[in-house]
Amino acid sequence: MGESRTDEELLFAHRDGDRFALGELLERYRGPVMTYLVRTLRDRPLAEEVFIDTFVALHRSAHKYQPQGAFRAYVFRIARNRAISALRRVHERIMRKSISLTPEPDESRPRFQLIQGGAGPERLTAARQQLDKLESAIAALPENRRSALLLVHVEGLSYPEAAEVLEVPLGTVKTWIHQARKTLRGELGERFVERG
Amino acid sequence: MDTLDEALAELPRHDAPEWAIQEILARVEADRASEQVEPPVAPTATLRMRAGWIGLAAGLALGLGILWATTQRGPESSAVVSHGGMTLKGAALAPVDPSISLGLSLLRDDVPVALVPGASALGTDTVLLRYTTDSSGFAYLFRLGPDDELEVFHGTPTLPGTHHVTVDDRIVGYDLAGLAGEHIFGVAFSQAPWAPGRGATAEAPAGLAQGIAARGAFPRTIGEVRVDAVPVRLGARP
Repeated sequence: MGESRTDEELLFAHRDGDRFALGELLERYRGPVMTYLVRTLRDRPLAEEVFIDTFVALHRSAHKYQPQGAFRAYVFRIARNRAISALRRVHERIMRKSISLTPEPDESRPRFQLIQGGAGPERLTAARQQLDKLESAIAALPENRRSALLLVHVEGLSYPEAAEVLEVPLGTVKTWIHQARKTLRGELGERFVERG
Repeated sequence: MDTLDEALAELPRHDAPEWAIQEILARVEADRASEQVEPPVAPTATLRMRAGWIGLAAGLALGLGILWATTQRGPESSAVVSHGGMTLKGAALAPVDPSISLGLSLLRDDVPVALVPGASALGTDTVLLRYTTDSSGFAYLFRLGPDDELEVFHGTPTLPGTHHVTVDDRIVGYDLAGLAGEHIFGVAFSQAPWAPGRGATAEAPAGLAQGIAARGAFPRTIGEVRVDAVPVRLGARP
């Protein structure tokens, strides 16, 4: 049994007509990219559409891919750009039946809501409640800080990889993550104070 | 390491659904099928632009061909590619049983929200619809009211894929103002166009309203039409 192919090798193989290479890439990235998109968009159906767009775009740009940075940064950059475009479309182009444009939201960050069904808060364990609070606090972060935090602390990208995804200098990523963590601690209280 | 890092690591993971994976693979196959009609010449910037138009034309021709083949010869089996436990219908001539699925959400105070089972919509909400199909044909959006009156409010030729309901390339929704009771919103997929309606988008086939109103799960086939639908109950704002 040979060694498994790298992500780059799979994309090149796909570009060259290998019918199974994209399937392997999808198996590797379906979880990480979907997790990132659901938390970025706060709307699972929309996240599913953007997930599809992301990998169709990856396929269509395969012929011009140059392995300069980290491949996963390349994938997440496509996903983030598609997510931002989707949010823009939803916010700016939603119309009523009368074909009149709805007013544009006066804040730039997404205002999607997740509808909670089933068990009420009293049935949730304390740990579950804490995670829900954390989810809500992450959702309330500005998009750039949220993305930086999710990429590094949830998806495990390095700071330089996150800088590639977000297309900003490394120092900016560090600042955004520092600010995001500070905000989360402020929102969530003592439990999340540094242990030292 | 602090407890914030631990909590971040404990956040639940999400996974892309299987249909999304298959949708990607189907679109890639469709792209490749359209690329095969390009002239075998080294690509230049101009040619790449032309290739886009050729691809679009090939896609349309393929869609029309599928439609023609379906109406002329009836269903044929699809070309099937198996991969890693997944089944991909690639370059299908015509599906045996075209699939159609409806996605429905509400626009409430300019914020899209999911309609969870058992929840009610408000008269101030707008229904947002999108549909996914694996076939070329015609999609009709409808509302069936409590009086079993069927309103077909949008109709369009469609290709395989996921589509938002748009007019002039802008997403449109259905305003619920003035409605009460339970309404069924849905999409009907037909391989042939319906007749133009008098003062409406199109004339639904006879018996469709009764077929939609009948008890049972969606999607379902009613005559020659495949239908997916979601009931929306109007409630008062708390």
